[in-house]
Amino acid sequence: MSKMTRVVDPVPRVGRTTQARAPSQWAAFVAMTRASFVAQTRSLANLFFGFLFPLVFIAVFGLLGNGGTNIKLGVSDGSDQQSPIYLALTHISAVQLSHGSASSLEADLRSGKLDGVLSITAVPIPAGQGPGQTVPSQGSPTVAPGAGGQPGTGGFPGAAGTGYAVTLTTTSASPQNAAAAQAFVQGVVDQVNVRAAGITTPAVTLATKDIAGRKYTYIDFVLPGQLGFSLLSIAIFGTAFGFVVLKRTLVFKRIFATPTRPTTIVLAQGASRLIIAFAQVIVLLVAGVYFFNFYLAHGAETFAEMLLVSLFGLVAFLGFGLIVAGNFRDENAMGPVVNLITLPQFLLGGSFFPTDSFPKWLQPVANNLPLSYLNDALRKIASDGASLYDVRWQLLGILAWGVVTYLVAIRTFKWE
Amino acid sequence: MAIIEVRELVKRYGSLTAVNGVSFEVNEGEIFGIVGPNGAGKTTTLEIIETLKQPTSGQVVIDGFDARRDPWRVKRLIGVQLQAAGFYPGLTLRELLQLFAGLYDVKVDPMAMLRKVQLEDKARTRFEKLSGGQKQRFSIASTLVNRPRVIFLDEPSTGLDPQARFNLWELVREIRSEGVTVVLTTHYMEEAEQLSDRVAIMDEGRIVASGTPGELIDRLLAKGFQKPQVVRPASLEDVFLDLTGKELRDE
Repeated sequence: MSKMTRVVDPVPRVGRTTQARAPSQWAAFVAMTRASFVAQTRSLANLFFGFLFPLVFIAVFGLLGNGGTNIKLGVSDGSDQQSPIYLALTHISAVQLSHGSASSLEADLRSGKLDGVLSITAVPIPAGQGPGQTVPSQGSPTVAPGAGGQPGTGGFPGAAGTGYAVTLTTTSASPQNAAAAQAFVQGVVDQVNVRAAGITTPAVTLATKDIAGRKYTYIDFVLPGQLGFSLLSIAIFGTAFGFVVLKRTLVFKRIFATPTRPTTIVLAQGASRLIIAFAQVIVLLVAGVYFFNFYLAHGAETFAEMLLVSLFGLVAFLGFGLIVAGNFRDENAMGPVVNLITLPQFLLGGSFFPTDSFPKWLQPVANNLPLSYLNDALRKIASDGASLYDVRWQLLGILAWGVVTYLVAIRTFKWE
Repeated sequence: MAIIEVRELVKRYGSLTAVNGVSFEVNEGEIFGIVGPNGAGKTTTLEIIETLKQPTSGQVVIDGFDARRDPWRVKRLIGVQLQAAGFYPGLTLRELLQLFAGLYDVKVDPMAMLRKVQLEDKARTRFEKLSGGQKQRFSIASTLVNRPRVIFLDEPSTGLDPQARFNLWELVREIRSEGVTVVLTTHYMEEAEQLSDRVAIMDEGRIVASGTPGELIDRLLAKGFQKPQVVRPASLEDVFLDLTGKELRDE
């Protein structure tokens, strides 16, 4: 500036006051936001990561999660399908029965498709013999219905004088499923035995009480996680790749030849993504509520709170996108860095797996990722009916990440 | 009178001096050509005038406003066409013009602007889908959004076939006839000679000669220069245009 001399202009223009500041940026902001929004709605990648992928994921896992726990039992051919055991099992909705030859069922058991294989054979019981048990090899309960010659007391069709040997084969390969199957079958066998013995008032009764609660299904875990996932995708993938393309194609340079401030460009890019995220959250939540029984603790209020927290999360996540966008000028070099930021969060951030399923040493990392905070806040709001104040620590966590990333972005951002 | 005054412009990148003391003036209403080989500093000089780059030293005054002190005013006075596209990907021509209208905070009639460059039927087409000539015509239309006093065209006819180039010249002359000053760079001497009122020849960051094409040719001839071969009264380009016609055919 020191070399600069004052212009000696022969025309009277020399007296004009200088205008140091940029003109009003409102029209530029609106035009840029609109352009960026329209361009994004035409981008397939955005459509895929923002809407399609989360919706498909929710559809697949939302439907999968609704059945609760099932016990899958195979009944080998030749089993007595008139036996009280078999009939009792067919009436329990939590039991899935399948049929086949003993050898094919055993193969299914080995491969984990079944939890246990049953064979039920009628064995004649000599008159006068009381309920007894034979214990075959693999922990198999045997049913001995009430002593023969006491028709009416047991009340089983064709049960008189007939006992049943039930063999349950399980595999030690999945001890949990084996235990569940055994407990289940044992319970049914005991019940049948008790009734066969003519006991109508058992000495010990078990009453279970159902407290009025709601059914927490997998969708309640999956949907907030997918919201977080798609917000992070839009904020980081969308921003980083969007900016770099605009850099490479000299769009920014051309805009800098107009009276538009760089800040206006950044704000407009953010605003257009906010609009997309707004639509995204509404689509995912509405689809979740109407098609997959997603639970909103306080209905519309919860809906609004989730929307608000989502947009807050998006604004914070944009910081990451801007860091990457500001430091790269072509997509190929940027790709690995984007993955480095997003992949750990997708894996550890609780979108797909709950963070408490990770090893202890990993949990401090997993629990403090920005995506974890967002997912956690969204789940607490949706399922527990938490208020914004209740999730203040999560919001603060998101804010802290936002402040740090924006500071880095501002310090390192390069337009060319 | 001069609408652009460039004084002792210098731009250094480390040890490389891209622009080395360039001074010239552009008169209002003229077409001013800057010619020179690649790397001569043409684009850098233009970008400094366009407020896109800061000079290491020197001064640019456009219509009385200093480009460094008053960049916002200068930006309003000028229209800029970059060497490469610079258009928001995924948008149609109409949407692009509306975007520029917003960026300049002015109202435009996009269809009228497209009609002027014979692209009315492409209003709903994306820029990426245009032919080379159409891209350049749209690009020039986009420089007129803010009704500038001066437009800068950086190698506007590079890569165009003779018909498209001829059509582009017509467009540039038409814009000038409406009172807009045009500054353009080119590799093609024929273009500079046909189109420019005055020409500056740049080499290695300096202006080595300037004047009207006629003056520059006379100066050379005065030094006793003679073309080695006999000049025929027609060129191969004349043959080409005679056979293929001058109408535009890039649609």
